Amino acid sequence: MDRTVLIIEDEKLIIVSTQMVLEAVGYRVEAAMNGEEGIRKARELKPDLILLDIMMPGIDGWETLTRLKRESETSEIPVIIFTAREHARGHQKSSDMGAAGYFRKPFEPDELIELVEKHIGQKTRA
Amino acid sequence: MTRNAGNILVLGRLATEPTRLEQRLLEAGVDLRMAHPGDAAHCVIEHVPDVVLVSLPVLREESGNLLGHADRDPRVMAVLQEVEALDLEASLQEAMRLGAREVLVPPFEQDAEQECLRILHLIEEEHVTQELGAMRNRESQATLRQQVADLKERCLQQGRSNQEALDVFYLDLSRMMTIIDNIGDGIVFTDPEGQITLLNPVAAELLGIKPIVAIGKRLRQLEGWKDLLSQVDEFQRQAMIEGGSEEVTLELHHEEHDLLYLQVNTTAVTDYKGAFAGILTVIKDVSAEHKAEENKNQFLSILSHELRTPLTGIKTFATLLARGALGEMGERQQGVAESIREQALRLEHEIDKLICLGRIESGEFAMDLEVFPVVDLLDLAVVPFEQAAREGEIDFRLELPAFCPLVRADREDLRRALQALIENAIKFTPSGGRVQVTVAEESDSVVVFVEDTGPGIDKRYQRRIFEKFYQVEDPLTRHHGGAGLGLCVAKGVALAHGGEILVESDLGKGARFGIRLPKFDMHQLEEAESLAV
Repeated sequence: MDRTVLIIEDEKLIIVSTQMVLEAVGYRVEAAMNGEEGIRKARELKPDLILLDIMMPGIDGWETLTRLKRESETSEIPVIIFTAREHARGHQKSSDMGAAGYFRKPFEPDELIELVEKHIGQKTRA
Repeated sequence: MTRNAGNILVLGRLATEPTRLEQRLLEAGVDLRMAHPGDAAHCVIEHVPDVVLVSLPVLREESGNLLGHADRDPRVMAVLQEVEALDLEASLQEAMRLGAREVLVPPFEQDAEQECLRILHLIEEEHVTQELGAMRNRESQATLRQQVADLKERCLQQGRSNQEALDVFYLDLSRMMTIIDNIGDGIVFTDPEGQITLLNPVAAELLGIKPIVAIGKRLRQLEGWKDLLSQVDEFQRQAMIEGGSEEVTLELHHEEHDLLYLQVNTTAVTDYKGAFAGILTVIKDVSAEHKAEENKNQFLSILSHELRTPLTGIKTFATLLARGALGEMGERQQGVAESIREQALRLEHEIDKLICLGRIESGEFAMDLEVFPVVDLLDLAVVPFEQAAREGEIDFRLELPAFCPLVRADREDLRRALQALIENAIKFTPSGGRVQVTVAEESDSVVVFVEDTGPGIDKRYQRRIFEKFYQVEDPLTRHHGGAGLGLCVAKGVALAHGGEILVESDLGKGARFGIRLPKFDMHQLEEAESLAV
């Protein structure tokens, strides 16, 4: 079965480019355009990994992460913070809130593949 | 008094009736006066005789009254009695001891002419002495008059130069007051008792007080903008206790101006003797600068998000196209896709530096710290330059030690800094040259060196190359690209991490840049964490 990555991101361009990169190496990529939709899809799809943007309309990435980690259905799914803006103590904050990684845009396609592989691989092994 | 042949005072009875000697003296024109011994002092003062003729017994009684009373002392001539002349030596000594200048020894009548000449000679001597004294007196008076004249001239000169100094002082004071009244900053001066002695219009407006009311009063006694008055009053009190100078930026809400940012500097002032003379307070409205800083940060934030996001798309699509992931392309199309990707990377790199520089200047630096071995970063940092080095036929080497110490740094910022150094080295190294990246461990720090065989940097420019937008080459004629931000960013990142930037170069002999960072001690972290628990 294809491994599934859910991307929660309000920029279509990023969604499409991420989909292209990950689908080219065999992942199934689902997208949500905001936090609420992302949480709903996470419950439904039970993806292997979530890529989560911070700056989004409605509930932002931090709030979305908090809710994902609070709900038993989604709390075990690894989440990688995925942001274009530089946040003070971003690494520390994302780690404290239970994120599996912190990744700054713009990314290199190979870096993205490596990162996704690393986290999904860990989960599979676990 | 007309001057005659001389004045002689005969004190007391000398011998017998007027003798031939007396007669001869009178004939010579001498003014001969007789006086009672008891009047000695009075007569000497009154008549100022040239010579006093006195018997030895009277001299014994009156010598104290004869000498030291008048403007000038007379010449005393002791006239001995017959009996005294018998022991002439003893009488002579006694007469001289009592102040006599000459002694007349009886009998006087034997050679009256000779005795008369002796007395006249004595008078003459006295006259010469008087004349000399008068001359000296006149000379000293002339000298004194000259000295007085000189002194007067000096006083006048001093007076003139004092007036000139006073004129300059008033001119300076006038200039200073004009500057103080027209300067854009508020200035308040209080004396050691805390009373206002100077208040310029800007300070008056900011504090909401009138100078005419404020002078001579303490800040806390005034009705004005209470928030600022109380803050400035508190700063002044601290400066009075602690001395020195202190600067604070206040954020205050003002009824008319809304939010104001005021930079308040208080300085304890001492006079030229070092004694405390009061407090100078300078209030500067920096609201516009704060607004500009806010705008800049907002602009950088927009730049960060709005430019990076489309760049991610462009870069990703170009990469997929170039790799044929979206379908096979001809060689030409593939080249175009590669070119789009390279230009996107270049743009990303410049935007990164600009954002990084903005953060350096706003003081929000080293904000996303992680602990990692610096070699982990170097492996990735050199990748974007490998192709450029190959194309430029540059021998590009990364030499890493087997074990590399940890650093605590913002991974992205440090990558930018190291890439700025590598980019510079590749850019300036000619074909056939070498660029080498090495790591050196020191006792409490780690240094990443980037060494090249380029043209080197003249010593004159080695400090300036770290300035923003500075380029050694003329920007209109230069052969190498870039905005002149790389080294400035590298230095800013190094400093923000508690490190430093290094440069060693000689013109024509290449260059070696380095970033020195403090080594991270894991034991310290473990200790700190265990203490925190």
